[in-house]
Amino acid sequence: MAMRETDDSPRLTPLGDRLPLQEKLLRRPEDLSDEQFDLLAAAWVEDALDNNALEELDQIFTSSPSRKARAESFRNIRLIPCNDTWNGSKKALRHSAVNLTLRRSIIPVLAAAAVLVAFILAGPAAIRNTAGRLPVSLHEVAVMTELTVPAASPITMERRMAVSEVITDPDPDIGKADHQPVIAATETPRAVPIDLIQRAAGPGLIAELPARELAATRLNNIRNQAVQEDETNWIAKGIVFLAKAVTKDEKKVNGYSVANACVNGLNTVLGWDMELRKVSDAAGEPLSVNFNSSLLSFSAPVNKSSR
Amino acid sequence: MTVKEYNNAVKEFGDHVYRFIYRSIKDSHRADDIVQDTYEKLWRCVTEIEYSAVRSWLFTSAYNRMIDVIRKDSRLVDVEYYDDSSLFADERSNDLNEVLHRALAMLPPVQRSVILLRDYEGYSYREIADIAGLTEAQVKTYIFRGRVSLRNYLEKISVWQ
Repeated sequence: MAMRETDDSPRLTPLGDRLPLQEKLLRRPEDLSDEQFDLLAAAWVEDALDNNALEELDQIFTSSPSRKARAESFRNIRLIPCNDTWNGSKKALRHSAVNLTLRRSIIPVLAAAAVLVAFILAGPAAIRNTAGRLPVSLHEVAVMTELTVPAASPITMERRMAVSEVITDPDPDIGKADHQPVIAATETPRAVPIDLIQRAAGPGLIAELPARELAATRLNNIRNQAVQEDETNWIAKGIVFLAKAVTKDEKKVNGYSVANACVNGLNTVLGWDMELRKVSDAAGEPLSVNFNSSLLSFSAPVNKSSR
Repeated sequence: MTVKEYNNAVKEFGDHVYRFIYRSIKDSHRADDIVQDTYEKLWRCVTEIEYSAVRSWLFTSAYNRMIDVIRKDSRLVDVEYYDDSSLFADERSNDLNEVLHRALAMLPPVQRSVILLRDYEGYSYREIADIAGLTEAQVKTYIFRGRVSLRNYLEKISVWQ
């Protein structure tokens, strides 16, 4: 039998194998499950839906206002950055070559120099302080006395006395008003009007000083030549001590060796090319010191006293 | 990139990268190490990276480093065994952001990271895909699913009925 054209055209699936109620499988937007709807809503608040999806979602919102409220709640699912700060940022920073040179070379050198200077300066002071420390000491306080002189008096006298000129007694009664300082014998006697002598009981202190602020000045507190020499030697000793600590070798340190070490140190740290040379005579006595660099050159004679 | 630009990258993005990593793994020491490693790596190839691309590079590198750390540490990778009892410790908290951050910890690491990149840094799906080594569709899926999980968590602890 010939196939008629009015019948169905040839198909891959026979007529009996077709789904009779195909439309029952079709879904409307309202049929979405909660989970499906949530995913759609999450995409909606992210503005990630295309026009077709938006159209479907509008239908859902129209048919079910509660679902619209649920979808709106996704707008609140947003994380706000907290104030977490990274504490290691300083460690991650890098420095330029100039900064590195400063941090690693010059600053330690300056710090070492500052320590050296402090060491040198503090040493003699410490020796002096430990030599004779008093619980209370009074240095360079001037006590001024005034006399009440009548207007008719031909002489107006004002006397100033320094503490160093006054021999005081560490007696606790020293602060009393009637205490009379004893003038040192070195002071030149002065003429005082007779009426002044008669009227005034004597020069008195204007302000009464508390006894605890007064104490005898010890003689060894006065710096003398021996202490100054010791201080000079102390500087050399300090340098020798530092040199020994660094090189583990005791060497005699003089001005030239210190200056030479400074020049060498600067050459090493800064990469400069400076030279310090000592010129000596046949006997080995230094005559002069020559300094050469790209910027400056000079020659300084060595004094006999400083050899 | 110059040294100055590198230092700018440290000052400008250091906190952002740290915040992203810290909120992803909830461990300040590890986060600090990861960010340090990331900047160390950046410094090693500082001349090869343009400053305009450094932000994305930092997040990508830090993310990959974090994934390595997570893989090495089984305690962090096993989200199925994550003890979420602490998440319910302070259910009465009214601070939604705080609750959300606590809830974030129960998400899988990838979802957590893409949500953080989206919300904290405002990256697009394309940028997040580049950072995390995913496709754009995957990023969208992770973000949407993550948001649904967060919302369900809030519902669970009765923040929202």
